[in-house]
Amino acid sequence: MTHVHSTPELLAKYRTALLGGVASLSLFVSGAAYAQQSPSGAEVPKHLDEKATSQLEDDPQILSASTPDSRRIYITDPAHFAVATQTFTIDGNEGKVLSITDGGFLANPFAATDGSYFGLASTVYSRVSHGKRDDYIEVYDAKTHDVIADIDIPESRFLVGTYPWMTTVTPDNKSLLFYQFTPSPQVGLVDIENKKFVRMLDVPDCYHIFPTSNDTFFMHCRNGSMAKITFDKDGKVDVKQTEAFHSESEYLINTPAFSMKAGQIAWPTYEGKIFMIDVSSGEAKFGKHFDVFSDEEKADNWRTGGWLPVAYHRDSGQVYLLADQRAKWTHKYSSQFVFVHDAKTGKRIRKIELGRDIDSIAVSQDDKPQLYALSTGEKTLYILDAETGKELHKVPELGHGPQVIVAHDN
Amino acid sequence: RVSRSAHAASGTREGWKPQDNDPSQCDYWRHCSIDGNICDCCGGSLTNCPPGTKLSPSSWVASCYNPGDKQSYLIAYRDCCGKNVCGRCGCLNTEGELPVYRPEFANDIIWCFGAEDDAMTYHCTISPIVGKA
Repeated sequence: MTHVHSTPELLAKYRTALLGGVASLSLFVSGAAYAQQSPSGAEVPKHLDEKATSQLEDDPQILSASTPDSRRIYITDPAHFAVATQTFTIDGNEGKVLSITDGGFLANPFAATDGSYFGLASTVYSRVSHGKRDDYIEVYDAKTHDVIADIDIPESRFLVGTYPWMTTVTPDNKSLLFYQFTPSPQVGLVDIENKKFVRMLDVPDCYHIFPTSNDTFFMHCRNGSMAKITFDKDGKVDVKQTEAFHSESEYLINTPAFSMKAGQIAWPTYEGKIFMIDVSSGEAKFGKHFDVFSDEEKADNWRTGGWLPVAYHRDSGQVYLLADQRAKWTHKYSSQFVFVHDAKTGKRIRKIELGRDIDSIAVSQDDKPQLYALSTGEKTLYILDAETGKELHKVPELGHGPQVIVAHDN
Repeated sequence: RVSRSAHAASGTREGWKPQDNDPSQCDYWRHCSIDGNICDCCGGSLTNCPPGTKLSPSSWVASCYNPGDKQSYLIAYRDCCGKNVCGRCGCLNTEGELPVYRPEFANDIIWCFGAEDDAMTYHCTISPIVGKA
């Protein structure tokens, strides 16, 4: 509508005409058969004053988010185990929240490798926190944030503090794999393209899911080995386990970094030893591991600590580790430093002092990477220059206890 | 998941220093590997669930040192389930806490397995003793 004739009289005329039109249309659509239906609770109330449905000078629209680039990230707030959670879509270039998506209990985020969609594996109950449980996969368009697939799955999600690699897409973005813990370890296969649950796949006593092709993924097992799982859609599963690659007393954290595009897993221990697992050939190779801390630093109690304390930059092959001076058994508390090492040589490239308590980190995969540093306590994301550590943006008010950073371009 | 700055009562990088006076505090000795909320602050007690919740029969465990009698005890952390998170007395301690591939010592897991009515939502955690460690 034009703004030129926006006198109250004219507006009133427009409104009367419009409302009349809407009313007769709805009568026509609903018809006599629905006349006895109970109220929906969402109708425009009949007793509303004119002001409540005024015509506007402005023209409000529903926005669409920008096209995702390598600096598009998703921050999930598990809200300290609350039954409802939020996932914030953020543009790292501007440090701007583009949209917020609702999830249920301990929703696990995932994103297509090409950025075209993102989604949540989620759980809700019919009566807020009890009643009938419903697990589902919801997939959203990365720009409009409209639901593009809502797929029912068995009530079998592993309910655990959010570990990104417990739910993931396959490299072609057509399938999704999610982990089940009880009554026995299994992995659920979901066909995203055709919007349907396919089946559960039997796996050994192993954890996490690292896909290397569209029918193959790796897991890490209790006995310290990696298992290569090959499957088909009929449920045939082939399992091949490697020898143990770490000792029983080397504790590998719950949230390793995985670059699906490079086929590299960077997996730190509590003490700051990093295992690089190369799965790019389709087999697990354990050639390289290195200690982030010198003997002197170890004596000074430098250790890994945080929720997502490791990130991997694909092109440079650099590993970022969140760490601090800390007592043993404080491995989930925040840290104030990031150590950057070359994954090939194990040599330290730089050390970044964050100057605040940070729980989770990630890096963007472009040539001038951003370092994402998330503070659960402050509920704030700090976007830093990964080279200098200089603060570029600060994004506060991210829910109740944000912990997880997911990028599509991993 | 309960960060230091959000909940001053949670542990710190300096390490675990247990007390044996106040079970509603995060540094009470039996809470050495608790993750979530102390049921004593939610209508339960140190070893009992609040009204209206469901008690889980499964648990993760930890060996906690009691400064009162200078003995270590095995604590079985059982969750009270079937309600939204209590929100009071948030606490995260990780003494001897192991990664998820050693689940009996892993505390990020929602330990509601086996609770009545298939209750799987997390409300709070109790800290009963199994025996001497």
